[in-house]
Amino acid sequence: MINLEVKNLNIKYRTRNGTVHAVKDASFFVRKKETLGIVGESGCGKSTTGHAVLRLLPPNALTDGEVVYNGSNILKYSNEKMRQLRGKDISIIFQDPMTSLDPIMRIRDHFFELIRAHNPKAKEEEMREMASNALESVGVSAKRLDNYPFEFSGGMRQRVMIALGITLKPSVLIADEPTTSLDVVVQEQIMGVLKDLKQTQDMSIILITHDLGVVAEVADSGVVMYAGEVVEYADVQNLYNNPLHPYTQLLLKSVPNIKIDDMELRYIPGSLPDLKNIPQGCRFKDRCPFVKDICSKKEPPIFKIDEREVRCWLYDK
Amino acid sequence: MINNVVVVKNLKKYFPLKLPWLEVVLKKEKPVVKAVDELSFSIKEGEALGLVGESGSGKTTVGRSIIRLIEPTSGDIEINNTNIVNLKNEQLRQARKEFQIIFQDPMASLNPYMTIGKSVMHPLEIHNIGTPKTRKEMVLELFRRVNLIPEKEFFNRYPRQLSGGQRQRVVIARAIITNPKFIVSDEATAMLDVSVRSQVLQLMLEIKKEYNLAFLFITHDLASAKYICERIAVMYLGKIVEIAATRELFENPHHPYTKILMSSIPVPDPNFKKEKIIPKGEIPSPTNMPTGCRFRTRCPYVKKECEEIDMNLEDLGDGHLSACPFFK
Repeated sequence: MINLEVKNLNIKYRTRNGTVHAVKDASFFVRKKETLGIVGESGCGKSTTGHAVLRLLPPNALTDGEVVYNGSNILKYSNEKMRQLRGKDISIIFQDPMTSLDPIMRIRDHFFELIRAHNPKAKEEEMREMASNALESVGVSAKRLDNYPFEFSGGMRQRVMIALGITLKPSVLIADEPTTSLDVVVQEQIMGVLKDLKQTQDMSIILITHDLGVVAEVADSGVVMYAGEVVEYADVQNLYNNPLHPYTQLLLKSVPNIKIDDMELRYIPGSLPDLKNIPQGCRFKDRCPFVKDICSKKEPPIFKIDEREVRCWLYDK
Repeated sequence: MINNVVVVKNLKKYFPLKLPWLEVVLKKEKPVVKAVDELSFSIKEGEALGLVGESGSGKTTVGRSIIRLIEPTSGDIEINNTNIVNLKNEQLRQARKEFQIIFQDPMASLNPYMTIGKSVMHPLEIHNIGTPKTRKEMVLELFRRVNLIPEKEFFNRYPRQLSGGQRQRVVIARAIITNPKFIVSDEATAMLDVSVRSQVLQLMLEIKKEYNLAFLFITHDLASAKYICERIAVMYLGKIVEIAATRELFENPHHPYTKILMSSIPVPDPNFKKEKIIPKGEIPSPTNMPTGCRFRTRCPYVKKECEEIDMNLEDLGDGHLSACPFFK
């Protein structure tokens, strides 16, 4: 069952130096109990996409397209209706757990504030109960509700953030680089928490990350973004075992791996195009080893192959 | 015979803790954080030693104290046969020509008001190498080498006009322009995107070979260290827990912590079934260090005896040293 669907999402930032087309024509969906990974390098528009779903973008961003949740387009919701939806139906956790918690508020007050925002008459015992359950489900003792954020380590703070995100049992959790500022060992623990949640809480997760390894371990399907566009969209098995888009292929090869017999350093030559000044045709053409004439003339559309989608002229039939 | 360029013996860096004044008056012994505790290692000419560990393990403190960006508490540091621990201001300043550091954030290590050409030329002026005319030539030549082409255009650009990968190339060029013998790279590729990271790693690998440099490659990423380093040392809470040749470490990791670190690197392959060893909790606070083995509070194989062992490195043969006497 499709839980949340994004259709033809376009996001433009108006800046003093012109308009930046940060996300172009992105479409994807996530089912119940599934995790969708959005991967890409910095500046590819993955966080912008995630934030746009909850309408958290700054005022200079123009959003166009549809975000369908529960049968209606939430981009058309009033601000008040949107406020009620945030945290309760769709919630988000951010990359940096240090700046996401208020340093002078106890952990319990973070929970109380959240619960009261959706139910002003909530009683204290009731709220404590909810907060304790959420904390315990991510592996933090409920005794720590009365602590301040500084009394937690980075990994524990990220657990608290996840607990806040799931307190009101949302049906979609957007996790924006939840493990990027953490060490690998702690990252492994947090990914374990996310995997468990998907099963026990009946929830969809949209996982935004630059780490292809993390997506392979946690996600069911993956969206690969490059320079503001979705270039490939497939289930995780196909995406990793048989990547179609040249960018996905090269990106997968350039991840440093731990196989000791593979000592060759591979990389993608060149760099990302300037989003203010997009060249004609395919956005990856300057770095692509399979470039053809048509690539610099016309921008490739999405080609559908079985259940998969890829934006590349190589698959034009 | 290949010479040791860097020899570090019993390096210690203790940071004093701030206390309320009453406790300062009452307590005789000042409490300290043992960020680096009795570390010894050496690096040969043309060799890269990887220093790997989680944040808080003290790896950055090692990198900074062996080139005296922070003063070590005690220990000997020989670089190029000179013990730099006792060098005074002017002597130290001159010796710095021989050792350079590359930091994690290239934007923060470049002056935003200086063109990158001037930034890279600066070390030559400080050490009085060449004439103003030849200096510019040297910079341009190096720009070509690190692939900042067209080099004349790049010379007049500012850091903000460059991408992250290009900035890190500038910082690498600045580090090698004085022809040093030894370079510390502190998480130099951590902030770069995947498609660019390997480019910069490749450049460091080439530079290391061409200049026959000794390299201390500090990173939290074992996978990146594999490509650059001949040997790898794994650090935990201020101590080296294991040190071995790269291949040996990957094929036969001995210390439980090394095994955990290996198993927690995410592999971009959904069918890769790895043996997961997940430790308990997180790195303890160095102000309140466990007795005996410092890793025992998180170790999945902990025994009673672990409370009493010293973390001495024992030789398992062929230069493979490990600080765990129990684990087989």
